[in-house]
Amino acid sequence: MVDRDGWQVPLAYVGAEQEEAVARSAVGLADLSAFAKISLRGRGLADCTQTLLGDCQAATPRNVALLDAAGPVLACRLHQEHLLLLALTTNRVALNKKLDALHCGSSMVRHDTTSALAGFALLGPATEEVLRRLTALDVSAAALPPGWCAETGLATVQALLVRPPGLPLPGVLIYVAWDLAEFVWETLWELGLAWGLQPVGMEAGWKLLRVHEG
Amino acid sequence: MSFLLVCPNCGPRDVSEFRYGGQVLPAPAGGGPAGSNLPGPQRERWYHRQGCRRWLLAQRDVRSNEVLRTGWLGEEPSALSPRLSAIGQQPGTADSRQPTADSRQPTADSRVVTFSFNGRPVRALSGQSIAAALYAADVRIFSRSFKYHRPRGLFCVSGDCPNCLMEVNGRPNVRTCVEPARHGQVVRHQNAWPSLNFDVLRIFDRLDSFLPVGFYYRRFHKPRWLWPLVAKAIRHVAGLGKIDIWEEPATPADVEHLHTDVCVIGGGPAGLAAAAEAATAGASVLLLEREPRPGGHLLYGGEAALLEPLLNQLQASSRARVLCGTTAFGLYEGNLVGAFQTNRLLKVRARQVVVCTGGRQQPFLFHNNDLPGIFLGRGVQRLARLHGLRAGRRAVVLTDNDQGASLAQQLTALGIEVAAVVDRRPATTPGQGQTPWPTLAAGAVLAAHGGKQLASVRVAGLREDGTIDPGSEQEIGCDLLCLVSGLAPAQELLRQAGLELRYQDGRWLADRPLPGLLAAGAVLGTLDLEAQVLEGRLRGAEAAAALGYQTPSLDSYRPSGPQVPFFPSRGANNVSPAVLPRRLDDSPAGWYQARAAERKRFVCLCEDVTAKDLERAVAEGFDHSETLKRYATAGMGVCQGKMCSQAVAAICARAKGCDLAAVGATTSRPPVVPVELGVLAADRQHQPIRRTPLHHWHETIGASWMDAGLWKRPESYGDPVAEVQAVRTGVGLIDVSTLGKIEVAGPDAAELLERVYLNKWADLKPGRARYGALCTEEGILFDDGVGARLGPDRFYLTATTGNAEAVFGWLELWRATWQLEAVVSNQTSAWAAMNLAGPQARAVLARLTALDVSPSGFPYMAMREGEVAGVACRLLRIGFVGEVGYEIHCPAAQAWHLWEALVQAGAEFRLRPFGVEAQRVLRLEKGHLIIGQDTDALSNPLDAGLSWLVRFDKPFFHGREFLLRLQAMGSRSRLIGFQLKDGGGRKQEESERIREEDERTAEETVGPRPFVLSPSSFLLSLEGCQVVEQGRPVGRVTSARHSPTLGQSIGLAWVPAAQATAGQPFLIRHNGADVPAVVTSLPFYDPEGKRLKE
Repeated sequence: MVDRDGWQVPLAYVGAEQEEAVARSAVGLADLSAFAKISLRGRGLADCTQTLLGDCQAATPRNVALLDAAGPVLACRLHQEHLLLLALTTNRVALNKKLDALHCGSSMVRHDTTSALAGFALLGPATEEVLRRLTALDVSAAALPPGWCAETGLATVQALLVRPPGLPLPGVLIYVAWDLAEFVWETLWELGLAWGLQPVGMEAGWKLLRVHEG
Repeated sequence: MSFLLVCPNCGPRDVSEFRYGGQVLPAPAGGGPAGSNLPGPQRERWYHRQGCRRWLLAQRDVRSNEVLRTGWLGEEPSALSPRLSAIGQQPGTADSRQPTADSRQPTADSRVVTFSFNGRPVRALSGQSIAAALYAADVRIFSRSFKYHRPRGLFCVSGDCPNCLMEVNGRPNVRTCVEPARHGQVVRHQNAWPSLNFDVLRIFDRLDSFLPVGFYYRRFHKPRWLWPLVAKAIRHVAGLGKIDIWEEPATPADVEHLHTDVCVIGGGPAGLAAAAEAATAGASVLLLEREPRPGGHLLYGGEAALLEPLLNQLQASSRARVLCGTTAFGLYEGNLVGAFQTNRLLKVRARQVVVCTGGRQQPFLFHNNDLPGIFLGRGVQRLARLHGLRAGRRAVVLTDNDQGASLAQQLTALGIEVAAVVDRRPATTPGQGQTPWPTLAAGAVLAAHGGKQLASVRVAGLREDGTIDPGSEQEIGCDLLCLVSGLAPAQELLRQAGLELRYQDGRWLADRPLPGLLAAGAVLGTLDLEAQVLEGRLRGAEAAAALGYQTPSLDSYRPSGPQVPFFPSRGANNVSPAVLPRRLDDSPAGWYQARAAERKRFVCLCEDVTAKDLERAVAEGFDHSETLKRYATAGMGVCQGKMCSQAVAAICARAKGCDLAAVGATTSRPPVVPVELGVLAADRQHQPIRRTPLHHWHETIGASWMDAGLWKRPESYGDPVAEVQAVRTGVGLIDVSTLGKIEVAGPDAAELLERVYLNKWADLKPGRARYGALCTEEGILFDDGVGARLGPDRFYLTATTGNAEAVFGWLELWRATWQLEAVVSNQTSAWAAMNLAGPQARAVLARLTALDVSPSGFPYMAMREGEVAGVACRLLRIGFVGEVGYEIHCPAAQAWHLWEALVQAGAEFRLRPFGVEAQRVLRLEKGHLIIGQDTDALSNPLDAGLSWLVRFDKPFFHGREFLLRLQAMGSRSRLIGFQLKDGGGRKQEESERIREEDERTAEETVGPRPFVLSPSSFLLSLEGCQVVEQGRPVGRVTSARHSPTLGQSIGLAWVPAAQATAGQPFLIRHNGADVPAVVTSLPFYDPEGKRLKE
């Protein structure tokens, strides 16, 4: 375990190289819960998004764009009045500074949802096989291509599935309510064993997600 | 329900992701009640609870569940078609697999496995079915019949009939003719004693005159005590295998969700052709085939040459995936196909479904038509071609079509002597020319003879009126009788999909087309092989074309020559309305005028129902197929009418002297084939658990747990009484993270709360908190909680644990309906919460924060934001437990740190964590109600003692009109506090002794029993008991506990308003005894509220 911005995060379980190999050949599960998350909601979101992201994909609901704010941030447009910013780093200061500079006014509400949502990365060729056992949503790369997200039922609980753009291997990020994190982790773990699932620490996770510590 | 709802934001989703929010009714004209519950389209609210958590408006036809339009609440719904076409599977990009590697493997290979059958070893070729292996081992009796315990042998060899059911590895009712033999399996017979060859209960076969259909409806009911005994005995001797409910499956069932452009059900020639064509066009295709390999009747019917090119075409496309050993059991709304593979449930969501389930041969009716040695013709073919076994040595073939002669040829080629072909058709029928075997035209088999195995059949010619020509009767020795009827279409899935099929002018007709549903092959009555393939190709192309894939012109699939006898023209994307040509005379009943002695003509092999049983039932008035099925139980067995439904209809029609249409068809419901409950339940295996951020802290110190919805909450830490005393005298700390936490922000935030809550919010000052409650539109108490104003346009509300999601949904519903500019956010998971309460709470808190926590600096019902132990928190000064209390909310991830800091700071003051049980006692002492426990679906705030909260001076709030009317009418019942009359203040140590005495007294006492008070255990059991007046129930107890603070047994109860005055006595009925109680003013503890405000 290492300390990152006040969070205790698992750096590695059995060794970063081995964990990366498992993720590339089977499926790996990484805990991203400590990564910063910020929710923007309200009628003023359209203007705010335009300022933040420009004319990009995240202008449309269910799309995901990559935002660079001292480390990559996934901007998920959940619906017309809800943008969820998912940093791939534990550092939220830079992101908050960027948002502070936006001056979006009172028509938009900002929440730090880092503690509200737990996040996991399911990485590897068997990702879809595992997810098909847990959700009625079509999780194939055709239906949920890179750069898309979907809120749906996963193991009977509400979850956000994100397929980040530009991942070097098949993978889906899963976000669920903080209080359901343990249940969802255990469910993924038990189910994924049949496909050789292994936990992946942050060292391998950062590499696989093509991000740096920020 | 399995239909798809199109969320305007998230797209088409399974309806299970939504919560129904009720019908949207137009305003009633003239003040009368609005119409509802009418057939046809209606406007409804739906909440996308597992998606974007927004409300939408849908127009749904409640007869078919077809969703016509959806849109956001407050907006006019738009038509669905453009959304539905963008379902997410872009052409040419979906999941693709090669046909499975094993799809071309023969059923049996040369490897040998051994299993045990009734204790003796049996060898089988790997891949061979259990039944085939047993047949090779000279087993001829595979089961005993349901009612008469008659010997039954292999019959269909395709998993349709009940004749081969056995117990395999503890699993009862396994169809061994399609269950592959595996090494080490333990196979046992069922429903026979002591053995299959000698079953003592065969005696019932001799007593059949006393056991006609429905005999148990008429007998054994007088005297009344007799029936339970007889019912038990009947259930013991009749039936199938026994389930071992303690048996743990070696591999638990699981579920897999699959999505595809085209799902083809059935891997016969039509199905293969359809799948190949659709895949060639570029559609993703999933072919479900229940056999170990695809091919259908091509595998055993003598047309194997056609199989190779079809498989080659299928394999050439990377878009097709073949799932062998996969049985489709249901076709539901939204083109959801339910299927299973051994113990895996498959839920296939397809944009187009092509049903190619083929047809089945049907039994003929004659005396003893169930003897071992009598097979369906296809059963004999399957045994020979798939398992390399000859079904007998000398055969008679009974047929009504050209397939009989074809089978006779195949039998001859297999080395089986064909003793005769009995053809029901008249002698002039083409195809009855010179044959190597004797042919009896216009003939019938009258009876089969033999004990445990067929020995001979009695055949005769029939006159035109169906009577027997006596001079033509003859006995033919044989050990095999093959029944080769025309094919009855396997239409169950089509019927389940919603097609109503009716018999008209010699054909089955569908009532209407269904979008996205196609069919091809024998299921539509297409019997010619080449026509089946052509039709399959056409359907595959149509399915792909409907999804936007490029296909050749559909006209190019039309046959040009006369060789295709049946190929009706159909509109693209629709099931043909013309389904199957079948005349009444073609009924598989093989009708003839049977003699009185020939009464064992079995129609339903599953339930042992004979033709005579059915005739008798019709004579008794059960002359509709539905009532006949229920009374005679024909079609209610494991085959679900696959072998008998047409015969039942034909017999019923003939007995009534009417057409088949007048008899009607029974409803086809899922599952088409038996499915293990464990497989069906695989979809429900996940049991979510919500844990607070402090869960493992509680676990570490040994908390006992209780469930609160999905949450796990500490009930106590060992001693609830001590926990209560700690809060009253020192300080306690409870984890209340499960409380709902909702933030409402925006210019209209206050307006929204004003309209939804009973009390006022607009005048609440920032930094202040207020208790509030909300009602439904009917004035029923819905939830309550404390809310605080964070800023001019920002409120922070709490809701009860069980209602958090519902309150959030409720606020969001009305925000959307009224189009208010506010953002409602569910922050339940984001914030942990803990309540620090007790006389020393202020002192503990002061050690961890720089905030002014003095009574004047942080007064009762105030809210502060600040750091506690370095954590940014929101603090509410409230008093649910009746002492000075601070509800501290902090980010969930920092809860553990804050909790430990509080525990550490409180150590000096003997801080004690307390659980839900102590909290319940504390709040009861304070007289605070709990919504859901002390209220129900009829409770309104006026009667519940919350009238002080209701602000009728507001122009509007939910329930206002109803509450005004209720106020004018006056209360009929009231929620009151009570205490038990004799004080109840006995010590805890005494309670167990008294409880034991109470129980002993109850056991020994006959008649009305005296009331004995035992505080702890007894009081809990009072909850839910009736309040009685002159022996009649007039109310109920909702909460009851022993108060260690007051030394009293106290509670809350609903009583008639006339009895709600303090000091009035009343009685509580408890286990037949009346417990005296007296109405007491609330609160019981600290009535002036000095302690919590000081």
